[in-house]
Amino acid sequence: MTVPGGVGLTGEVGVIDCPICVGQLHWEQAPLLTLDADGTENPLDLRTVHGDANRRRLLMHAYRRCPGNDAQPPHLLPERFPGLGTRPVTIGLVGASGTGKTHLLAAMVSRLHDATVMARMNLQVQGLDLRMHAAYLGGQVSRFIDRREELPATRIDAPVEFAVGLMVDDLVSGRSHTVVIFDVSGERLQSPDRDLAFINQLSALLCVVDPTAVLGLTGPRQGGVGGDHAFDATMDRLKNARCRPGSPLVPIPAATVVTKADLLTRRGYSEITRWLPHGLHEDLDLGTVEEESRAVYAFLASRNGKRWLGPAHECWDSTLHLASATGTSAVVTEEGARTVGRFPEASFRQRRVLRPLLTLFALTGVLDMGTARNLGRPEGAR
Amino acid sequence: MSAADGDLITYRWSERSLLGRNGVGPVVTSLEPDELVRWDDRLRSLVWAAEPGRDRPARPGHVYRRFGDRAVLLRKESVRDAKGRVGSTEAHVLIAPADRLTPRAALAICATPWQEWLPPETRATRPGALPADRAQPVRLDRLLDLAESFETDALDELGQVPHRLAVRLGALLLAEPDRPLTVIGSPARGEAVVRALAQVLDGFVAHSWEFASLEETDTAAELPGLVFLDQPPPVSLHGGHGRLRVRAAAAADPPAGAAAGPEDRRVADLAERLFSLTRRLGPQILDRLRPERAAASSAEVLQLGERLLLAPGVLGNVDVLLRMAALGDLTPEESGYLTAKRFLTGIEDGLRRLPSGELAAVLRLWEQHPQAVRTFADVRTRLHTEAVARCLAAEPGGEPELRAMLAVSTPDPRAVHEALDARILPRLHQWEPRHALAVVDVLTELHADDMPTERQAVRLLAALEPETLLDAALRRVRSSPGAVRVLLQGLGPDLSRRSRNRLRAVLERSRAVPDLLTKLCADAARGEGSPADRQLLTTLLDLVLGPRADADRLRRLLAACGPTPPAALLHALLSKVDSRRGREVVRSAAADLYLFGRLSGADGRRALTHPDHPEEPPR
Repeated sequence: MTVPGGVGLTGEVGVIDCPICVGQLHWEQAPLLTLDADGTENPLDLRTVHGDANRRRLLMHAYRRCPGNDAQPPHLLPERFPGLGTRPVTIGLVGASGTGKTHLLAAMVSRLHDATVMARMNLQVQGLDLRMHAAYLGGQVSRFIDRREELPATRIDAPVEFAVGLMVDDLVSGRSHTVVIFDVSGERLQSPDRDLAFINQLSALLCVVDPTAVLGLTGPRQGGVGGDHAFDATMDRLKNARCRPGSPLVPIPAATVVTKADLLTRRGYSEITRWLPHGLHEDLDLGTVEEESRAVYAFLASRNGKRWLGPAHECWDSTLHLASATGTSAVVTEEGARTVGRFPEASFRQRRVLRPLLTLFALTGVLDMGTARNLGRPEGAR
Repeated sequence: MSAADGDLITYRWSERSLLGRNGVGPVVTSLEPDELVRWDDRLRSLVWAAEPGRDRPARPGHVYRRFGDRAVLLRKESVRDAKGRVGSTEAHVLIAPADRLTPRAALAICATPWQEWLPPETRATRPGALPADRAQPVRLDRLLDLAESFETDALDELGQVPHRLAVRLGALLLAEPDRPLTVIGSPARGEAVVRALAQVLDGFVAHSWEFASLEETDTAAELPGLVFLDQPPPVSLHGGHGRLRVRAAAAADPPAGAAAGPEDRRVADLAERLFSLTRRLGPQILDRLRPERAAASSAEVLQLGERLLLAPGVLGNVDVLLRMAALGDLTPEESGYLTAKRFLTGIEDGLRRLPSGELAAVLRLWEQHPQAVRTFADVRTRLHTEAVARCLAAEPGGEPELRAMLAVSTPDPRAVHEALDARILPRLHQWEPRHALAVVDVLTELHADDMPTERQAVRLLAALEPETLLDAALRRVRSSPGAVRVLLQGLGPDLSRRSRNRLRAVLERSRAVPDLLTKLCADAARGEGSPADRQLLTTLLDLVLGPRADADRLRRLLAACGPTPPAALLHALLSKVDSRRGREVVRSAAADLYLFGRLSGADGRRALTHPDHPEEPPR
C-alpha cells in the first residue's frame, strides 16, 4: 500500500538509483535506521513496532543507508524518498560562484511554503526529511527572508547532497512526487570532482545567470562574454552521461534564470520590460512562460550573453526567466563579533522566483497542467 | 622546491583563478602549474574557513596534514569576497618537507602573525589593481626560528585546556588510535588542545597529530584525524564518515563511566594518570615513561597500560616514583606502593632497568631531600644496592657518576653486603680474577672497605694468588690504605711454603713494606685489629725478617720506619724476636722512640703502651 503524500508501508520499492551517488540501491535490503539528536545512527526494526500508525510515525523519521562508492562516502536517504509511487525528481542548481543560486533557492522554498500561493497552484508541499527540512527553513530561509541576512557562499567542502527535499502533491492529478534540489558551490561544479556524479542523473536543471557577469548588462565595463564555466562543465557531464552518440540534446528540461533582475530595471531593455520584477504578486501564470523565454533569450543573445545560452540550446525542454531573489544589494555591517551583510528592509523583496521552479515542476510532471504539455519546446517540436 | 624552502598557495575568490575557474581558487603560488593542479586536487576541500558564530569573534582556523613526504599547513579565515559577499574564505597554504614541517613546528607556526612572513604578493590587491600570481617560496629556517620565538605564547595557552576535556579526549585517542575524532565546542582553541594532547600522548600512542583547528563541518573527505567545530555540524545526510563526535561540554562527565567495559576503564585510567602526572610534574616527566615504540592499536595501548600501571592508581616506573618521592609529591596510592614489602621485588627490577645516569640522578635527589625519603628506608637500601652493585661490576674507572654519588652519600652497609652477596660474588667466575682488585678499590672509594665481611673478602679474592694480593696491598698502602686490610684478609690464615717464598720475594722488591707494617700496626693501635689481623702482622714480620729474625734485618726494618716506628710494631717485634741481639735492637728503638717523644713533647709513654692493653707498658 502506498499512502499518498506519505510512506509506502507494504509496497515493494525494489531497486532505486541513489540521487547522491547514482549507485543502485535495493531499498528494502538497505539498513533502516533513525538518528538521535547528536546524529548517531540507531537501527530501526519495524518488526518490533505494532500498528500502522506507529510504523508510519517512525518511518517519517527513518532513513536507509546507501553504502556509497569510492567517490562518495556512505550516506542516508529519507525513508520516504522513493515511497510515493512516482519517480523522484532531482533538480540541480547550476551557475558559477556568486551568481545567486543559494539566495534564489531560499526564496523559492519560502514561496513554496506560502499556502496562498500554493493554493492557487493546487499544490501541497511539505518537507521530505523533517529534520533536514526544519534545519533548512530555520537556517537558510529564516535567516534570509525573516532576518534579511545575506547568506554565506556555499562551501566547497559541503557534503554532496540535496539541499532541499520536498514532497509535492498535485491536488488536481492526485499524484505526489518527491522533489530534491541540489545546490552545490559554483567552484565545485566547475571542478572535475568524481563525487559530483549526481549531475549525471538529474531530472532538470535550474541554471542561474548573474547579469553582472555579462558584459555591459549592469554597467559599461562590468562583466565578460566568456559564459559560465559551471554551465559548460555541467552540460559536458550530462552530454557524456545521457546523450546517445549523435544526439544533440540532453533529454532533460532546463530553466535558465537571469537572477538579480532588479539590476536590469530602468536600463532601457525594452525587450524584457514586461518580465522585469514589479507588482506585489508572484507571476504564477505559466501560460506566458514561452513568451518570457523568447524575450529573455533574445535579450541575452543580443547583449553579450550568448555564451550563457548553452543549456537553453542543448536541453530537450528549456525555458528562460527573469527573477530577483533580493530586490537589492546587501549592506555590510558589523554586528557584535561578526560582519553581516543585511538587505535594507525598504527594498528587500522576492520577485518571480517561483515561476522557474513551477515551470520545471510542469516539465517534469510534478505539476500536471494542460499548459505544461508544450512548455519549453521549440514550436516545431510540439 | 628545495628542502630549505616552503611553497605557498593563496586561495581566495576571483573571477578567474590560476586554474581558470571562477570562485574561490588558487590566485597566487610559488608552485609550477602542474604541481599546482596536483596540490589543488588535495587541498580545495580544505580551504574553506568556518563562518564566525553569533557570539564568537572571527579567528583563523588552521589545518595540518601530511601527504607522503610533504606536509601542509593552511591558515584560513572567513572574509568578504571581491563581490562584497560575506562568508567567503581566504586561505594561505604552506607546503614543506614533512620532516621539517612537523606537528610541533606547525603548531608553533600557527601562533605566528602570518602577515609578517608571507610574501607581499599573497595579499589581496585593491579592486582594479593587477594581481600578482607568483610568490617566492618561504625560507623554512627563518620561519621556524620565528615560530620558536612565539612558542612561549602557545605554551601559555595550554592552561586554558580543561583537564577533564584533555583526559576524555586522551582516553578516546588511546582507545581507538586510528579513529577520526571531532571535538565540538571546545572552550580552548583547537591548536591548544592538540598541543596539550600531543604533549602528553605523543610517543605513547601512534597518532599523526594532523588537525583542523576550526571547521564548520567534519564531513569533507580530506579532513585530518582531529577536527574542532565551534558548533554542532549542520544537519546532513552524511554522517561523520566514521568520526567520533565529542561535545566538549559532555567531557565533564565521568570518563568511560561505570557502564563502560573493563578495557575502557583501564584506558580511561591510563589517560587520567598520564594527564595528572603531567599536570603535577610537567611534561618532561613523561619522557621517562615513553615506550620505545608507540602503541598503534587499542590492544597495544592496553599492553602499554599494563606495563605503566604498577598498581591500582600508580602510573609510572621506579624512576618516576623515586623522583616524586624525593620531591614529596606522591599520592597516597604511590606512597603505599613504595612502602609495601610486596612491591619491593618490582622496585628492584625497575632499578635494574634504569640507565646509570638516571640512577645517579635519583641518588642525588634522594641525598638532597633526606627528610622526604626517610619513610622509604627499604627502597633507599635497594637504591644503594643497585648503585653499589653497578659500581662493583664496572670496569676500572667505570660508572663515575654513580661512584661520585655513593662516595658522598655513604652507602648503607646492608646495601654493600647485599650487592656483594647477590650481585658480585655469584658472578666472579665470569670475570678476570684481577677484577676482584677493582672491586676492592671501588669499595675503598665508597668508604665501604670495612663493610665486606671476612667471609666476603676471602670469597672475593679467592681466585687471586697470595703474592698478587700482597703486591696489590703494598701498591695501595699509601694511596688507598683502606683497601689493604681487605686485600690481606684474602691471604687467609694458612700459607704454604711456596706461597711464603713468593710473598717474601714480593716484600723484598717493595719499598712500601714499612708503610704496610706501620698501617697494620696503626690499625692495631686503634683497636681495630682483630686477632686475625695480629696474626697477619706476625705472618708478615715472619716473611720480612725471616724465620730467625736476625738483628741486621731488624735494624734495616726499623731504620726504614723512620725515627718513630709504631709502638705496636715494636711490641710485635719484641714478641717475635728471640735472639738477644735482636731484642736489644728493638729495645733500643723503643728507647729512642720514648726519648724522641719526650724531647719533642709527644707522649712517648702513651705511644709505647700495649696495643691490646693501653694501661700496660711494653716489656
